[in-house]
Amino acid sequence: MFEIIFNKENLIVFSFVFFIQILGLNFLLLFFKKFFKENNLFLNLNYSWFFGNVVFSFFIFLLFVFKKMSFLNLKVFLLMLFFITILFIVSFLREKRKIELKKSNLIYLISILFFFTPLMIESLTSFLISWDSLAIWFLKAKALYIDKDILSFLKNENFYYSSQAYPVGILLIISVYYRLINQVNDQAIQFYFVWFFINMSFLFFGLLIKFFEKFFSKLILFLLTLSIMVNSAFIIYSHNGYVDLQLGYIFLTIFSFFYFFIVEKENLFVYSRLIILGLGYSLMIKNEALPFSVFCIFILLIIYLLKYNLLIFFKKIFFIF
Amino acid sequence: MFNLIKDKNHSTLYEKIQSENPYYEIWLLAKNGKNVYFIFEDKNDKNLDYNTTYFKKKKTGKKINYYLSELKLNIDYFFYPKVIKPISLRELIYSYQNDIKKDDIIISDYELDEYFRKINEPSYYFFKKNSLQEEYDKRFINFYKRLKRLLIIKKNFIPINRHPEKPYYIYQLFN
Repeated sequence: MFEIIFNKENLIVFSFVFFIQILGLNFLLLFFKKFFKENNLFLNLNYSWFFGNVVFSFFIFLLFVFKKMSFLNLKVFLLMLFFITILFIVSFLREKRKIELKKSNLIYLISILFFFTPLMIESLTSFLISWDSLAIWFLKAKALYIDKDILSFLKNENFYYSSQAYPVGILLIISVYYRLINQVNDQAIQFYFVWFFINMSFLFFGLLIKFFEKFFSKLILFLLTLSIMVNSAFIIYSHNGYVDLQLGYIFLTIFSFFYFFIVEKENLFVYSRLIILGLGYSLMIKNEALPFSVFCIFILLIIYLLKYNLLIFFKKIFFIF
Repeated sequence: MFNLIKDKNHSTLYEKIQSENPYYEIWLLAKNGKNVYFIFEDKNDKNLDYNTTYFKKKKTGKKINYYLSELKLNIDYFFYPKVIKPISLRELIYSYQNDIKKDDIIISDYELDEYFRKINEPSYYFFKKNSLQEEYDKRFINFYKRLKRLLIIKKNFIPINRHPEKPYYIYQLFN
């Protein structure tokens, strides 16, 4: 069992996921300190995964646009991982006193990870079979990795079925992993996909704790979370190469920001900035995010018009970060 | 899946897992860099199967039909960057017969043996055929006699919540 789970390619995918998570934690600790301190462990873990993906995807997208993808290899990645971990340790130690880490939350965290361990093993030991993965995401990622570009693939009439208009966010991430291991491995990278599902569970549990901790014991909320998350559709779509669950996860996270944005009287600008970043990221995943994003921007504008004026909105959102 | 692969004897973990893929043999052919032809059931505009055909409208307004099936998706994916265009058996027999060499592989989405059996049945002998059909059958028989069917290993893994894949057939030219 040990050699199946802990081989070189799987260890790299674990570090890859860890890197994105730590990147997100750093992002929140550096730019959204107050927001970070107000949340419980599960919400913070989820938001750090979310913003880790936001930051990393934008970074990779810039490398892709400027044709500098060759810059990324295993050595560079390990160096980046080292520095980002050091940065996290320093910023965490600086804020340690103000961040409350409950022992019970740590126990529930371990329990969730333990509960989903078979699913994680399943993701690492599954071959690709679903249509979207073979026809769109993993095929394009393979093309991007092999051709170092995507244009020749998109122009090839043999692959017209490959939804050419879809954005490149997910396939860029997959192809980066292929670059790190220097070959195509569509099995190990499924762990990256399953981590969205795990974080969706964190988000759900975190929100339940935030809203219902006073009324119900954590154990009940924990069991409720697990009973909802073990839905067979969630389990199947957690790592089969469709990105719909990932998109659903992004929508859910943005909805949670919207809730805070509407309900909380303070930190309005913080939440609206987080929403706009999240919407930008969602547009990198699938075209279906476009109507959602337009609708969200519309709602944001209405709320700002009612509370402030548009000038303040643009000033606060786009110029002063 | 974990239980199915843990005792398998393959050189890499990737192959261990892949050996339970219903399209494992296609993956192996792509990995070994074999010269491959892919044939699909004859289709024309009158008997198009809309489950396996999609259209692309050219700028001139002309619609072009493209054949697509799960087998084609897997071939495209595993063989990339090599492109293996689907051709009909008729095209293979008439246009490619001189190009096909010994050891070349033919992946087919239907059973050639079945057609061979059909044209050898006594009832087919009395069936009225035109000269073109007779020539086609003759060519097919000559071609078929050069083929040997390769075995597709039965997979133990049964994916949940998924239609079983359509069978496919692999032949190799032995002369």
